[in-house]
Amino acid sequence: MPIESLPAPPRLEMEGVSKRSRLVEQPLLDQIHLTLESNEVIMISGRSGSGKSLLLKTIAMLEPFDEGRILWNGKSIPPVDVPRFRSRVMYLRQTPSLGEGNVMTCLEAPFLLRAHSNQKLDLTRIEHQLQDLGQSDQFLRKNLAELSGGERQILQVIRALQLAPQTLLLDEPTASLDHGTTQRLESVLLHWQAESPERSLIWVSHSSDQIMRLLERSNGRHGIVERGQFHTKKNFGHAEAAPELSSGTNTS
Amino acid sequence: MNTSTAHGTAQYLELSFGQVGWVSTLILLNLILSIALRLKLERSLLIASLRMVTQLIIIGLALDWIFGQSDWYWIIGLATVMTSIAGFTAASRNERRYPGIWLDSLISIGLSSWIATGFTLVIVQQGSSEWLTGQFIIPLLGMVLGNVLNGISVGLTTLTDSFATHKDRIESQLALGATSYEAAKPMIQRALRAGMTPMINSMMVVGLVSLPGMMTGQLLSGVDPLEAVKYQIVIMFLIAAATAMGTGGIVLLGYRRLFNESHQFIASRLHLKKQN
Repeated sequence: MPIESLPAPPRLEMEGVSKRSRLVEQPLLDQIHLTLESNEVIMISGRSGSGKSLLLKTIAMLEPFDEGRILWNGKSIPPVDVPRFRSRVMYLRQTPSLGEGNVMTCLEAPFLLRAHSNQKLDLTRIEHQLQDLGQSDQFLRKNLAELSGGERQILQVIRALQLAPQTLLLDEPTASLDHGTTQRLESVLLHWQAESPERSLIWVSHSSDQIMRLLERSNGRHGIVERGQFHTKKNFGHAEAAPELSSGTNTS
Repeated sequence: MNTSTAHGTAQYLELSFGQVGWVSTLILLNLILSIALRLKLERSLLIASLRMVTQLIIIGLALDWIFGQSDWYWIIGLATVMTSIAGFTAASRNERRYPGIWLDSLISIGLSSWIATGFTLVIVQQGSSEWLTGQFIIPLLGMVLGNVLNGISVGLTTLTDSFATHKDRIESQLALGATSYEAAKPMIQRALRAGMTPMINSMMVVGLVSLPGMMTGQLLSGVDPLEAVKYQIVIMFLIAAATAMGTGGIVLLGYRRLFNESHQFIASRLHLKKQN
């Protein structure tokens, strides 16, 4: 082994990505440069309406943009590969859309998609994860219409994890969860991320406690979205300042 | 007017304008009802009656003249005008718009109606050119256009409504790795079903509940019932095929307009019609 091995190629890069709106002058995304290493955790904060969700959706190639490019393992993603890309770099909505039926049918449905046709549902793994999240087996038989906001978020995470993604783009995944379940979900997700050097997370959160906690546990970076612009910091410097306010000092 | 009959079993009775005038007084019933219950429909009723009478007289005169023409371009010209109006009408009732909706509607209704009508004419003409005259082409095409218009209108409304209401669901499916077709399939299926249901319903009950307008017309003009039925069967299949093609066309074209090749759903292309 050479002493100075070259760094692994960055998994996901945004180079000067901008998106404009015809309705407002301020760009929705303004020259965004973002690099997510293959095993990295980035916690993102920012005011409501600053463009956090749009940023995640754009990374997942769900939103067209006007300028710049997105590179995956150093290459841009041809249109035909976009579904496969999204099956690896998976965006989880803030308010999950799960369809109709019960929890089990919801978990089975994605395997009908071409991108996941080579995978199978692993019930034991799901049951373990449910246990880790403090849910009983009854959960699988619940009707989707009866699920609470928190249960929907849990289900969305479990549905995503079983599809073997490399990167999860999480949009306030614990917004509707109680404190205990929030910490359980954090553990499940961080544990999943740490299991393999090919797994990364971008996690949008409004809670500075959560951001600090997770940055510490994952040795991740803190990113701030502010009026369509994106900055990262090595760590969560000013613990007492709300993440929304700490915009001055940044590097990237 | 021509008074020939197929088998001479019945005869054609000509209406005088006086008789037509008397029957038109039936509209007074609607007016009385509207005034008595303050429905405020008087204006619309009068305008609709006048439009109906004027449009029919104009088309009567036009057809009288067209049937006398043997040049193909007059027939094609009138057919084009009819198709354009149908294409415009099919999309105009839709609550939602997207860029390209008019062209999509025109293409769907035009191709489906012309192909189906053309196919039928080629099959039934059997070497004689008698069928390829304005007298056959124009009424056949008109009937097909009128029915396809409904299919396209319903299909388009269902498609754009379900795309607008299921935006989150589509996005969520795409995020899981669905192709744009996989994400849009439930909405495409729903729109196709909705667009074709009226046609299937009418095939189910034809003859039991209603006698189709064309058959009624033929019977009134003294055509043998079985001859009228043969015509009607041809027309029903013609309409069924054209509706399937037209609805399929608009639904797939609409789907293509609202997704791009990178499997992205461009919800912003879909907007509500501006209120006048």
